[in-house]
Amino acid sequence: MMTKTVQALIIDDDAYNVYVMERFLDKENISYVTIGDTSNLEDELDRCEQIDLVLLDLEMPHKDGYEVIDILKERYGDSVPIVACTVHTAEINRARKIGFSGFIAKPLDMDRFSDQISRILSGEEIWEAR
Amino acid sequence: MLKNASLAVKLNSLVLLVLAMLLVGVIFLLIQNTESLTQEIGGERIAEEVNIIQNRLEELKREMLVDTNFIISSVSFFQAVGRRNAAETAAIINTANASLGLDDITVVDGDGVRLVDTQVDADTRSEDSLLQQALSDIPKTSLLIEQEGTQTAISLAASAPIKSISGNILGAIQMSRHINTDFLKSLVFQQEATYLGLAYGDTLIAYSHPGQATPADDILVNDIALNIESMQAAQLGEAIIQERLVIGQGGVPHMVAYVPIMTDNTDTNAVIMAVVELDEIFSFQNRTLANTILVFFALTLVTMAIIYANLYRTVIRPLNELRTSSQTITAGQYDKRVPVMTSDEVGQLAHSFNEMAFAVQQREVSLRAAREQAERADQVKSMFLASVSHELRTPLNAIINLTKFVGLGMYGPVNSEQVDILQKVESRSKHLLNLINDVLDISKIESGSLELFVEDGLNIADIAQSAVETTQSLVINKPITICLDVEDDLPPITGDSQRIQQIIINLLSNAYKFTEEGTIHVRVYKQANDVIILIQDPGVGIAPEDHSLIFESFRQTKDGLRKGEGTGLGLPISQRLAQAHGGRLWFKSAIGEGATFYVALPLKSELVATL
Repeated sequence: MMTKTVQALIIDDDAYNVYVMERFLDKENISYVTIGDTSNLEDELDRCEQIDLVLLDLEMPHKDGYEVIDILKERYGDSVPIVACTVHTAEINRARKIGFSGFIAKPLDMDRFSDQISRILSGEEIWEAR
Repeated sequence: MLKNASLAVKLNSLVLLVLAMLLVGVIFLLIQNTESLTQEIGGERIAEEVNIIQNRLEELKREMLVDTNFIISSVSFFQAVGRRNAAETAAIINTANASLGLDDITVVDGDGVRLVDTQVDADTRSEDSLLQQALSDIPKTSLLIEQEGTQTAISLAASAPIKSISGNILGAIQMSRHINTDFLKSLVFQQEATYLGLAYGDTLIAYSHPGQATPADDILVNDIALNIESMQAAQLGEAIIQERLVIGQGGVPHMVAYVPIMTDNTDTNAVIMAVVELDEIFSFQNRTLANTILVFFALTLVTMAIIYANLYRTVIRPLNELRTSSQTITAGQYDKRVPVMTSDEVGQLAHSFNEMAFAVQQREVSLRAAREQAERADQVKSMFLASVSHELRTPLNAIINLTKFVGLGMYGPVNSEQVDILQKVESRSKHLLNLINDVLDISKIESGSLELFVEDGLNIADIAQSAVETTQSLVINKPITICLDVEDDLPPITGDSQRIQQIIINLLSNAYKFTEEGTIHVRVYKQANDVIILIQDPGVGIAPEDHSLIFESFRQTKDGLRKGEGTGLGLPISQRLAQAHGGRLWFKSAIGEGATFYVALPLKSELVATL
């Protein structure tokens, strides 16, 4: 029986962060698309097929996370969970008010990541600034 | 009383007080002076009156003797008497009395038998006595006292023998005039405000103004009664003038005198009581008093108005300007100055006020500059810390996780020694991350910008369980167990679950750090309106001198420093996080007896959940 694969969208300008996130997702058997540069975000998004989850950095050149979420919301509505992945832990309150579905602090914790991802995919919100 | 009144009221009250005292003094002097003036004038008046009465009495006595002589020198008269012809004698007497107007004329013959008696009295004893003396050739004037029932009638009488040309005593004549109201009125004559009374025995028996007298109380007029002592003194023959003013009805002053009618001191005497009413002087005194008070009142008003006007111009207005200016400066307008109008004390005050305002302005300018600089520095610091935090945490994401990947053999096999080293790199990196987090936390706490991520319905048991599990994974190489004991059915609380967990982990880490072996107890229970989290260790304990030090940032006990690790931030951060929840953090400890830390979080939090 074919299980439907989960596809995540990583939006982050830091190549090391993207690399770590990709390895974490590999471990969870989640496929992914990565956008490292938000200057042509609309075009990049057009090339993406089905998206089940967005892992969005907040501090980026060109468009930052708060601008990007507006575009994503416009495109996907509330059907796709968008999780803030950032080192700026103090942004957790703002992120919640803006409309993110969750908040995961960087550095990522391998021991907790599996649990965090599965809770998000089951529709739960996670707010972990530490 | 006037402590809170305005300056003008205070000063005017003072003026009022001074003027009132002056007024009292003036009124006192005025009363004294008018009293002695009244005394003086009254003394003159009463002396004059006494004089008039005495003269008039003497005149009357003389007249009566003259009248007597006129009658007895008439030939037809003494012949009629000599003949003992009563009808003829009566005819002559009646003719004569028509012009004389006497009240009673009695004529007796040489044997004392009455020929004529124009008024027959019931009591003739004194009349008879006089006539008897006259028959003995003794002419005289005297008082005739006659009892008519209970009434005493007093008359002024003259008596003389009736002689023939050869000198033989043919008979005697006695004539009298009643001393009654009409008589007294004639004595008063036209003197105004003068009242006379006839005193005999102990009472007044006739009044010049019966309408104003009260006979029952021997009052002559205006409540002024007969003074028996003075009267009795006057009976001896000398007129008595009472020296002091007698105050009658309505406060009107009077002078009183007693004038004896007979002065030869041989007969029973009657006294005329004379009262002079000094109403004019009294009303003059009253008018003067009223006028004085009126003038003083007007003077007081004018003085107060002048004082207020001057005070307003020289003191009150400048002071008001000073007040409004200082209010303006207090409100933040530091370039406000007051005009210096004079060089007196008020002007000097205005001048030094301006100097002070200038100094305040200078200080405000430099303070503002310093504050702006401090605020800028604080902003820079916050931005720097946020930036440093980001710049340090970003590479740590790669360092920690890539080290882990290598250790897990994702890039080819690694031996156990390499795994051990890689785990040490990962552990030290995580410690570095904790340091960065703590520094960031304390800087946010100190700048007041720490925000909690508040949620409702937190399960404190889960949070404590998770914190204990996290700490247990750190426990290595020490025979220590952590025992968690949570009260059943604790109510949900409101707060930041990760921060609460951070508090518990900090306290547990400390307990672990200072304990070599044994059991660390964690208890969670309800007490009053709080949830208490208790962490009790059997470790070295805290020396009394360190009790206040351990909540200070970047401070550690000597023991703590010796053990290495730690930033000295865990306890201050935990305490401030508890306070940010509206709770408290405290401890009990003694050297060698371990330490017990308590965290109290309110069941009814005032925090509002995010969103």
